[in-house]
Amino acid sequence: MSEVLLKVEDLKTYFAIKRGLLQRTVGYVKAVDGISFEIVKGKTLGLVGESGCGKTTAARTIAKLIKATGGSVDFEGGDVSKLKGAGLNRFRQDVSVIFQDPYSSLNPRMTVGHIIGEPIRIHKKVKGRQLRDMVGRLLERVGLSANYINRYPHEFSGGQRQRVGIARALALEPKLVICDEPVSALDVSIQSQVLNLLCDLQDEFGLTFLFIAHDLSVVEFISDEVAVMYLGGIVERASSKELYAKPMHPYTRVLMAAIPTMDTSQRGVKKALGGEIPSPSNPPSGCPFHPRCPIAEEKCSKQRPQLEDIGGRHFVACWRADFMNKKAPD
Amino acid sequence: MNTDNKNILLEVDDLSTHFFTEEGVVKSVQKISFDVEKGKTFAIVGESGCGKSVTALSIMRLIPEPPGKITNGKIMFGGKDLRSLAEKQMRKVRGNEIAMIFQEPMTSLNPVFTVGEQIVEAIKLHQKKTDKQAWELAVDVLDKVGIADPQQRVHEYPHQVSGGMRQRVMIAMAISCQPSLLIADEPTTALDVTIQAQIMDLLDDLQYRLGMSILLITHDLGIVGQRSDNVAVMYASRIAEKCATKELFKNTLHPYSQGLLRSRPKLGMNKDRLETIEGSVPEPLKFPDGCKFHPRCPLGRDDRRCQTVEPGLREVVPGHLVACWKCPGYGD
Repeated sequence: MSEVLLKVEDLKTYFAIKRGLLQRTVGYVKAVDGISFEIVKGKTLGLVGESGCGKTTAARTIAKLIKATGGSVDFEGGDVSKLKGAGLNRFRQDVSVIFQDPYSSLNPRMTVGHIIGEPIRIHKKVKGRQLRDMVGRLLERVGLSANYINRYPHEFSGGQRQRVGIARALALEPKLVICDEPVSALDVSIQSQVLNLLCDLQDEFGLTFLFIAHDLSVVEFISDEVAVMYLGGIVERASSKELYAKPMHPYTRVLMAAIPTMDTSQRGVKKALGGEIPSPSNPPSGCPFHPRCPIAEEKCSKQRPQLEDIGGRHFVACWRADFMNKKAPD
Repeated sequence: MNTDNKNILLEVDDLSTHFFTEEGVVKSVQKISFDVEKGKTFAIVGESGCGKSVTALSIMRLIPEPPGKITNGKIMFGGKDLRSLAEKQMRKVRGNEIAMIFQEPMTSLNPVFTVGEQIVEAIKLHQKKTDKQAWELAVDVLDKVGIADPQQRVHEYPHQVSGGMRQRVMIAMAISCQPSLLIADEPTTALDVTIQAQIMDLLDDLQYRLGMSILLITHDLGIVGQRSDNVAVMYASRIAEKCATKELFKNTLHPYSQGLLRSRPKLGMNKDRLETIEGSVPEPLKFPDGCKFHPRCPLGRDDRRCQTVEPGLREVVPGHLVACWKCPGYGD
């Protein structure tokens, strides 16, 4: 039986909105509002959604960079919120993050050797020649020369910087790597290089990925399972093949249709869905997607649908899933 | 390309723009030529640093000078030679006959003026209108770009509207003087996919209703495929391939364009690996000799001629120009 590495249950992260002289709490931004999923060891879960849907907040909460408001995160069977001291230290080594912007996530005053070596120095108490060797090997593993060890971030291109970020994330041999939009700041021809590198590293080190992106085609390529987020909640979750073949939630279909394909026969064909993403501080009643949904009915504005298995571990949160099921995608 | 001059609104011929810096001369745009037809969309696609934005700024004559300078070429717009216009005359063209929208709608709007004040400023600069008429027109263009409650929105500040709305405001400002050419420099790059689709739909719609031409600058081949009629692929400050958009996707000739098309993940492709273009885009001060793409090119990497002689654009198939020694039919 496959081993579950990360289990997230009903995770909630709220931010208080404070106003006035006394900074009284006047409301909450429900950035993450009850999401659940699990990732099997060695697999990749893709978390996809538009800006403001809470995907980055979810990742940060899982990495214990933000305190959760409710729910639980289990890592290797232990509750992350109870971790302290040595246990927390261990957790920090086991979970690492690759950030979106390779320009702002590397300290410009530190050499690449320092950037990658710092976590090793702190956690493994390695120094001197041994540390240099380890950093050199990491650099080579991500496709850079070990001679770059004394260079500064500004001497590298965007793609190379992202490789440095990846090397840093791998420095402590983590079990779970959270990739927060690792390729969206890169050029098209560099994106594919970095995606391939991530795949290779996963195979080689048996890494588990939580992969966050707004681009459904990138997520589909790299993930085994995909969860689509909208306004703090997961609206659909399925294996990436199943999700592509049979998208059930109207929002998932909209996201797919909105991806510009290279199909030139579509010139002049309308693509867009009306409306904008509502603010998470003032979400609509019922299903959060109903004001933009083309098939919403009365019930959708009153009650929030929960994720339900419609067979084959394909979960969808939509009152009209039956209707969508009958209407096969073209 | 269409050689019938009546249908051509903008003709760029042999344009070069260089920047004279302390480190050396950065040749950002080198000898590029293309035509934008009336009522059509011409796309320039390429990766960062390929010179596509500098091309747009050159047309608008917005290159900071010094260090930049248009060193060569002709820019003919509706019978006028834009390079020879005095700055005062150029100001009448800019924002009036040629309008531009930018990638980042937050930084291109002034945060201390309301949306309406900024649109009215553009209108009054170019048209003889009273305050009242200008404000009415501002409300009218906001309505045209699909902003609900334009009467209210016109009094809001940029920070009060969302990213997609800000781009709509930019477009409203751009079309307020009914330009015949709209230059859209990465208009949707900073936006979410569903909002991107809305903005591109809006541009299509406005083009149809106002009959304007669009020069679309983007890095996304998907947008090129769906939203343009003709296209030029730029690499390292030159045009690598130029043809009708349909032709580019049907019969891709340049190895760089082929690489770009293949390296893009597509939905439902079920592949374990993506194809890639090796290496990275060269820096402008360190451009290689010969064909600038040769160090990354699967065909030309070891070819003596590709390493030493730069290929020019040649018409290989009628209407389809390519700059590649290795392309069948290119010749010697």
